[in-house]
Amino acid sequence: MNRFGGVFWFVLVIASGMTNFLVKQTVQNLDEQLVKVRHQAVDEQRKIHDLTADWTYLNQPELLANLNNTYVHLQQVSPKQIVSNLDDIPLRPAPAPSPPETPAPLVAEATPLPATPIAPPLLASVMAPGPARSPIVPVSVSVPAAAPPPARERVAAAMPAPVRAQPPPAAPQAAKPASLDALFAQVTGSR
Amino acid sequence: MLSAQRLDDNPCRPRHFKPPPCAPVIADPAAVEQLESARTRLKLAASLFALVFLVVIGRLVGVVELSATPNEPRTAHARLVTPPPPPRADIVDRNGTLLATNLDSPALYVNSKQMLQAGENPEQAALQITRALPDLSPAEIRGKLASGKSFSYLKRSLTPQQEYLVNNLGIPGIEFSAAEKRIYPLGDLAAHTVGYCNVDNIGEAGIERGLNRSIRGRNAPVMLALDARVQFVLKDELQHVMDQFSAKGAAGIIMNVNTGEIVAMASLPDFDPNHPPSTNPVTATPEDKERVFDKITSGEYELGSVFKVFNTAMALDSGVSTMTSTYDARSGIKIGRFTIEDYHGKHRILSLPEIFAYSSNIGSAKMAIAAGADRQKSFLDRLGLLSPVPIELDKVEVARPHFPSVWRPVNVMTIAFGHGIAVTPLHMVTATAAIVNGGILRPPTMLKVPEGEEVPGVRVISPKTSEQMRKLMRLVVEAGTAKFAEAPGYVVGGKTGTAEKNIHGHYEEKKLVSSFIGAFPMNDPKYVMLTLVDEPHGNKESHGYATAGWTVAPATSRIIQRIAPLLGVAPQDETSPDIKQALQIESLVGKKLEYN
Repeated sequence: MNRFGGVFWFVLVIASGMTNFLVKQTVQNLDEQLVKVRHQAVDEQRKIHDLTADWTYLNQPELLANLNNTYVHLQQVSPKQIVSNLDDIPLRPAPAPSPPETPAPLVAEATPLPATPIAPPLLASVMAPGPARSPIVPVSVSVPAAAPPPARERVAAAMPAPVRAQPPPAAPQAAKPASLDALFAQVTGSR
Repeated sequence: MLSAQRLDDNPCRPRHFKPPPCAPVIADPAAVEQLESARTRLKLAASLFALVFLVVIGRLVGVVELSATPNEPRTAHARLVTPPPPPRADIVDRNGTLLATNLDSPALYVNSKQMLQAGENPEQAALQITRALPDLSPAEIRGKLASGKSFSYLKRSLTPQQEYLVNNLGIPGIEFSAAEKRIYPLGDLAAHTVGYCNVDNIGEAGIERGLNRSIRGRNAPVMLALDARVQFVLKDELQHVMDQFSAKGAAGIIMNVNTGEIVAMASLPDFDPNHPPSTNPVTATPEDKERVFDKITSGEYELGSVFKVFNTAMALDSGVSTMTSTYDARSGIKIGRFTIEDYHGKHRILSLPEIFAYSSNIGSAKMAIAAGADRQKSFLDRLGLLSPVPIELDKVEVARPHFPSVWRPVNVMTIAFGHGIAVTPLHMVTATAAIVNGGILRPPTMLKVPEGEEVPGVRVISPKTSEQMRKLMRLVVEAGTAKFAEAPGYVVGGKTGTAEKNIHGHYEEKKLVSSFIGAFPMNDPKYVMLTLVDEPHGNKESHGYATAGWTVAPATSRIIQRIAPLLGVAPQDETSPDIKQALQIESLVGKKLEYN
């Protein structure tokens, strides 16, 4: 009994000593790592600070204005170009009529509401993945409206959302502007 | 035969021998006592140790488990690594763009002793260093490297790039000593507002000086009300006016009418705070002085007709005049050797709106006389025009207005159209903000006011007078002297002022100060701005005129068109019935004002 007790306590002392040593070592290592990381963080902060100063220096309004005058030629925004109220934005004008590529079956398939007369070319333009719609053309005012706006609105309301959301392929009639300048000319010209 | 007793005492007795149980143990009373006391002492010591251990255990449990603040991290705080606090806090604009900051710019020195000991060739090292820092002279560097001294500066204030290059050379004995330098990344953009520091990091001008103490003592950046973009537009256009009319200087200030925040403030010519001009009274050239001088806060001007804003407001608010009052402006007023004349005389009886729109000196003087000296003086005092403007700048940089000590009738008349009283452009803008914002005077501030915070103010005129003044100021742009100030969509209103400079007591006809005080949008003013050009000269485009209507009014229009989108002021249709009606002067309905 006595001998067993002595062995037990001896083992316990050794084990706890070992554990203590190991835990302490681990903590010390972690601590060193922590300090290192913190030093790194401070260093990074310093670098960010220096870079912010650099960034601000490079973004001096005067410098940007000169760069604009040399390369981009952006114009000042005229008050007419600014719309402050959501209601002031005009509704999208009707897109250009597309060549009627058998619009009838599409109508029959997609919408079971032929009770109201809907202009077929218009519907085709909404539905067909043809060259009818482009992201640019509808904004342009010069495109002739194919159907009265009320009808268009009705179609828009009746159409299931996924169909409308499908992006049509690039339109051939809207030539891609050769340069940024041309793009700006195009955008400002259409206003 | 040995007795049992003796046998027992024998140290050589066999081990297994036990004395017979019957042998009596003689108790020695002294030994027993000793034994007893030793036992008690032992017990006492043991219990003491037990107590100490208990306390230690209790303390451990208390510290680890029953800590009063359970969320407090249990790591040692000494282990936290924090960057050293900057000698001065950053200054940023209202959008967080850096205006002033500190950069490490270590100094480079050489420990020549160490270098030579390391067996480095000074010749070669000097070559390498001058290649990295081409502005240093190779001969001088070579001398320093070979000197054998343990310390000599090679160059102060290195840029990070230079530090990197030199450090990369890896020459032993070449060392850096840490130092910081205050830099202004936007250069001269807001030179007068931000100011600059001297080499000891003490503010010498602008906010750096005015808030020197709080900038030194904090970590977080100081956020100004200034908007760097708006500041650029203001400066750009002022420079344009200066060049166009070959003027001596120009100044401009834009203020939020509802908070008193100064969104932009420029005074030309200006300087680069990274290389401030000399302020030494002996060595500074007049040009240096001109650059450092802030026309907005330190410059005092007899601003002329723009003062009619206050004169008219005073007459309307005191009830002396109404919008339909008329004054005889057929002939000039003679006082002593002076005659008060109109610049573009109509030579007829004018109504109050006409006096304002045509900027009639005669009519304004008569209005002031009707109100009286006391009323005029107390009104101007209430608007803060007779005392220095309270602002976050050092007192030295804020001018005290000049006005007559005795308010004679002649002073009353000249002050009516802005002569005989000299105030700073900052005064002018602060007071005008109160005139157009509904009648509440608020102190101007260069610091950003948190979004949505109400700034307390003092009521100086009634809301009704304020409304009338807005209509009158709109009229000046619509049909008066400031037609060129119109910015389509932004409903500009204002008042022009062209004053002859008073140099040593007499007015110089050729030296003008042309100014325009304007606000927009006039139906609900958001910003008020003053533009001023010092000694402009007429040119072909202005048909030889150097008056405010031809110089600063068009600049105001351009500035407003450029800054309104930045400041979030939406354009409106000024022909819409709502706005027309809001700014219509009843007494003028059906009449047509024509100013030529």
